[in-house]
Amino acid sequence: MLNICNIKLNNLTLLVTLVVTSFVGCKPTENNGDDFDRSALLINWADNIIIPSYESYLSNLEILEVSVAEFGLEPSEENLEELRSSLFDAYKEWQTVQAFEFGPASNRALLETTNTYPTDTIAIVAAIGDEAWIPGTPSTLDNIGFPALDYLINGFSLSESSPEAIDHIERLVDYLYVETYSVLEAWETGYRDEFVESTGTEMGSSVGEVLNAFNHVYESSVRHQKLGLPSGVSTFSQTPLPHLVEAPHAETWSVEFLKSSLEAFENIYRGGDGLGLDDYLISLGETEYGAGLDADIKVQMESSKLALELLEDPLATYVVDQQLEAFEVYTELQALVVLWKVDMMSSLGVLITYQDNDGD
Amino acid sequence: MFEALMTEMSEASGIEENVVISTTNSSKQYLQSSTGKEWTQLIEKGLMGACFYYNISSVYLGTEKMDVDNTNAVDAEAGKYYTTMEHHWDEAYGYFTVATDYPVNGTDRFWGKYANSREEVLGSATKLSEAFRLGRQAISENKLEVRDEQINIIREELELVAGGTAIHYLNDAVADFGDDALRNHCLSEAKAFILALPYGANTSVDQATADEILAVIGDDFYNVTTASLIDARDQLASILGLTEYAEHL
Repeated sequence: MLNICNIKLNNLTLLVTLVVTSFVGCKPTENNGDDFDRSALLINWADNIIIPSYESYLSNLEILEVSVAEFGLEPSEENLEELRSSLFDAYKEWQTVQAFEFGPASNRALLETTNTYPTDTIAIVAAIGDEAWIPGTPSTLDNIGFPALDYLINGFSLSESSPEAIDHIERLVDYLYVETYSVLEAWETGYRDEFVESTGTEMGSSVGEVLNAFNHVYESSVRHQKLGLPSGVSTFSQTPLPHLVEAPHAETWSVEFLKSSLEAFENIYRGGDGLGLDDYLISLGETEYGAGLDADIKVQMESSKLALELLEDPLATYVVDQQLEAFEVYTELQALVVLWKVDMMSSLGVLITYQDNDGD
Repeated sequence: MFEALMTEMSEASGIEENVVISTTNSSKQYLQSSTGKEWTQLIEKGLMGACFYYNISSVYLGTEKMDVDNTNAVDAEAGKYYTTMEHHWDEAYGYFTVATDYPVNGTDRFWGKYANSREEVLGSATKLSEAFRLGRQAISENKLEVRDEQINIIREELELVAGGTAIHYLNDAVADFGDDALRNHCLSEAKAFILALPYGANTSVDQATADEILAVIGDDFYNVTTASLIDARDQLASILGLTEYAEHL
């Protein structure tokens, strides 16, 4: 008896030691990343990723404006195809800028005005021809942006289109353009310099802003909204909710957008061809929380991308017919939350300042 | 004005549709009007402006209450060893906070609370507590020029607390733009702090200017846009010289 007790006690001591050690392991004391050139990281993000992504997205919106105008002048099958293809390109490009929801973008609530879904189709129809309609007020959030365009452009055949509906499509696209333009303009007229000069890691610093937006958008707008909600994994009853997929009227875009989203997050992480979060973690040294964590993240990103290949469009059908597979893919997306939000933030000593309100 | 707000509020309470629940945090629910006005904020923060702020900045630190006897104790026999001027200064301080060791204590409500909330960006709590102490000491030593310098600092800093807090709530309203309950709550706070500004002595924001800024926000909080809120924020920040802090408040 006595012996067993002793063994147990020893085990407990060992456990305590292990726990204490791993806590110490999480909190880098010797190297807090201050040797890392955060200024160069911020310059790379701003000049090679963020601003060019907004520019590219904005030029896609310009092309979409042209396609809408051409379809308005000549509502043919061919021009409708062209319009749908321009919408796809712009919507896909949006996925590459969604993560930058801080500073100029959060000043315009760009994420909410651009891509709030499910969209309220009754409100969209009511807005057609309404001259007093003002986009961007709180009550319009769920009937503007890409989800409304998906409904109006993909949800109707050529014979169902009307001049009033086309006018409304034009207003919706204009609004996306104006808002994005103002965000890009803010970056180009002052915010960029302010951004690269704020080289600390405290609350409100550029690294803090980028990482909070990065985690928040990935967690709620990508993992949760694009797959968690429609698959039913996030709800108590686990009933699939196929009508909650992104771009339901296009039917074949949802998986593609999920893939582009993950690629965009990977690109921010890797810093494109320049300095990224990977280099930042590696600079902490050959430790579990430094280079080791970077290696884990890179393995998980590959594994998550591979998992996305399992998904098939229409995603609305897939989450019903192959719900268990959808759950497995979700698990792979969730694994990145743990690595990015818990481990990486702790390694870099950056505080999460947003509230996780998505119910899990 | 406050009486009308209280009447409206009592008429509205108990009616379910006036309770607006946050869509992101269901523990947060507020009693609000059909245009998103939250009476509690307009009354409480409104009184902080029309009564407390007015009494500090315009009344007790004003000429009439400061141009008084500073030689004789008010009533030494009754233990009132302070002069009338010292007493008036203490009245002003009491409208700011009731804690003698502010900002160690007294950061829990009213102006003491909001000055402390602006401490990180504007250093308000430190500047105000120092000015109040230095001014009180100057009165005891009868150095009225030093006292007047501190009066100017207190007036300026309180104005920045009120304006900075309005800017802070406008930022929060944009951050919670899609959540009716939270957005309306923040806009009601912002509106009340903007309405407080004209009550300060030598204010940079008179009633007409406050009304102009409120007009940019608009009267219906369900009908605002992020562009209009940021526009109002930037106008206010520019008037108060807070442009470089506007995004961080």
